[in-house]
Amino acid sequence: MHTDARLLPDNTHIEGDICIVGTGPAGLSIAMEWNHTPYKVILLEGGGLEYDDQMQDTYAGPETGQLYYPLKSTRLHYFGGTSNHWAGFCSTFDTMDFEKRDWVPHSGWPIKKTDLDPFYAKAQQVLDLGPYEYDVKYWQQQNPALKSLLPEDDPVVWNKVWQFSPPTRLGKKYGNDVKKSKNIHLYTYAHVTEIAANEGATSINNLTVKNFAGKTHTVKAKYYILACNTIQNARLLLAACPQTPKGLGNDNDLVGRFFMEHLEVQSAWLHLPQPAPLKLYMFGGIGGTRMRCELAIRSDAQAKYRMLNGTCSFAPWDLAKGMTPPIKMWSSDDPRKNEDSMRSMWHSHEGATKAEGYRVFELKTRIEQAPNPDSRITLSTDRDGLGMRRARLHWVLTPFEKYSMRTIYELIGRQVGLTAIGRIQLMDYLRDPDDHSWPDTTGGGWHHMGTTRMSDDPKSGVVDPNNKLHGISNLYIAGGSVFVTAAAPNPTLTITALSLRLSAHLKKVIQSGG
Amino acid sequence: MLLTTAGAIATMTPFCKSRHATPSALNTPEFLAAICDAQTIRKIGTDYRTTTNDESREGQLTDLLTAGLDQNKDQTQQITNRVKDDFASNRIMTLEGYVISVTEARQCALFSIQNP
Repeated sequence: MHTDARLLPDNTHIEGDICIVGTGPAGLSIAMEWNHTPYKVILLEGGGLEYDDQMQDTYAGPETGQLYYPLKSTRLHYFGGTSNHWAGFCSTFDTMDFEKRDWVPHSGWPIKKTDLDPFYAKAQQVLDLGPYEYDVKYWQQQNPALKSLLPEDDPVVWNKVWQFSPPTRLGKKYGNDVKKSKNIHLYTYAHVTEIAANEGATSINNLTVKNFAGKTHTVKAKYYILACNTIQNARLLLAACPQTPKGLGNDNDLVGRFFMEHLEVQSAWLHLPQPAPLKLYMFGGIGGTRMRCELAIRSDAQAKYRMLNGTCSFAPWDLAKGMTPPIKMWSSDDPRKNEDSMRSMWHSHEGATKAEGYRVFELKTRIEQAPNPDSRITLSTDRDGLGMRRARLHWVLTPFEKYSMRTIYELIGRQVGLTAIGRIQLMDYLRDPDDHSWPDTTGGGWHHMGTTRMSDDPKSGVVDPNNKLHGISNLYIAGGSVFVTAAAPNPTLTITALSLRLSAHLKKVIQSGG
Repeated sequence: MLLTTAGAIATMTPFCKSRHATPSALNTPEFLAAICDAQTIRKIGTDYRTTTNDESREGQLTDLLTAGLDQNKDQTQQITNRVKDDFASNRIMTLEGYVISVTEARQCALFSIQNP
């Protein structure tokens, strides 16, 4: 069922078994797992069912460090969350992404890829993807025209599969189910502004929600899940609990640190002696599933060259040239304007690809940012319209990311040279190994990760391997904020899988009377 | 920066269609010639000569390129094999942004001297 919290009498007391804060891919995928159960689920959305600029403005905040998109427009604050402007790119993290890499400081998750596999498979359905198949051979069996650029057994470079969601707008997909549900109670315009803990701050007593209609309500549950976005999760922990001036769960000064993005930057060209379609690397469809591959570097080569994990996508140069880098285009505070601009540019550069293919392809990198405690979310002194201190982003890149990006193309360049397929040409900014600056085309993927990272040890992480806040008995965190490392893929599939895993854990806890 | 390079890609004249002096297996990087114009190959060669002072003269480069070649066999094929060996053993360089083999770089350097 659905209630607009603006219409409730002031100071309404709302009570349930589980309270989920946020209705994006994390919050909604968890909520739907509890539909038709005997448990009363309170699902809180700060915004409404549609875009509302006054609510969106609560996401605005100052930025320092590496140039970034306006914070107000990088996420969406209404039912369905940021899935409302998501592009739909999905791939799984690699086994290595979860492991400790001695050349990547602060790497190593407390869970393994195999722990997540069953939930990845389930997340495929939530996001309306195809079969849980990320081995290129599976797709090549469906369509033999999907030829690999390099030999399949190339020892350095491999084909990493992406699948594309329609993209699923989770608010639209699950809106009616939520409204009809007897045990899921959705409250819109219920923006959490305060988290009240018990004395000693070992458990959460209740939440305070507010809206611009001047209404304030309290929400009490046995278990709470913060399933906001990465920035908002950290902001709530830092700002919303009066009993913990340093921030809830922040005894070790970790909340907000390790903010990560994916660097998404045009980086090189592939020159071929003859035109080739490279269909495997173009957007295509097989049996109703859209998929393509990007080139990735094998894990032993990453270890050998002590580099970060990243991939390389292809665009025919004839179509890609003249495209404005997103960091220059996504410059408005209004996410709707930015989205329109982006779609308009993509549309104007779309064209029927030539059957015979192309001789020059632009190569774009998508690479993990190294976990870095100095890259962080803190609180600004400014407050939003509901009285909460705004989030401040200080985004920091290091020479490690640039070294890794350059190495990707040197390695691919070597392999395409060795096989006499073509030659790689690095763009100007990547050519000098001693140049650690970033070009003004450097941008992110609107992928925010890492501010409440997962760890067995409270001294190195904010949540435990089950996403529970260290030291707090009944508060869980869902979303990209729990990521320890960013890997190369877009995060939504992994966010959803981790959320489903959290939901399964909480069911066990509740069923065992915990 | 990007657009300058883009323009160069869009307007290049294939190496094989450009006029240059004394084409030979030694001064013609066969694979690069299929994807680059003469000006780019000249730039790569000049870049190589600038970064490797001890290989900046025509005689030095010719000696290096012919060393070990069997005079009774096809030179082009032997150099093609050497390029492959370079890539296999990581004797590669990045010049003008191109990730190429050292042998290719020397061919470009020789070309740039003979076709200033």
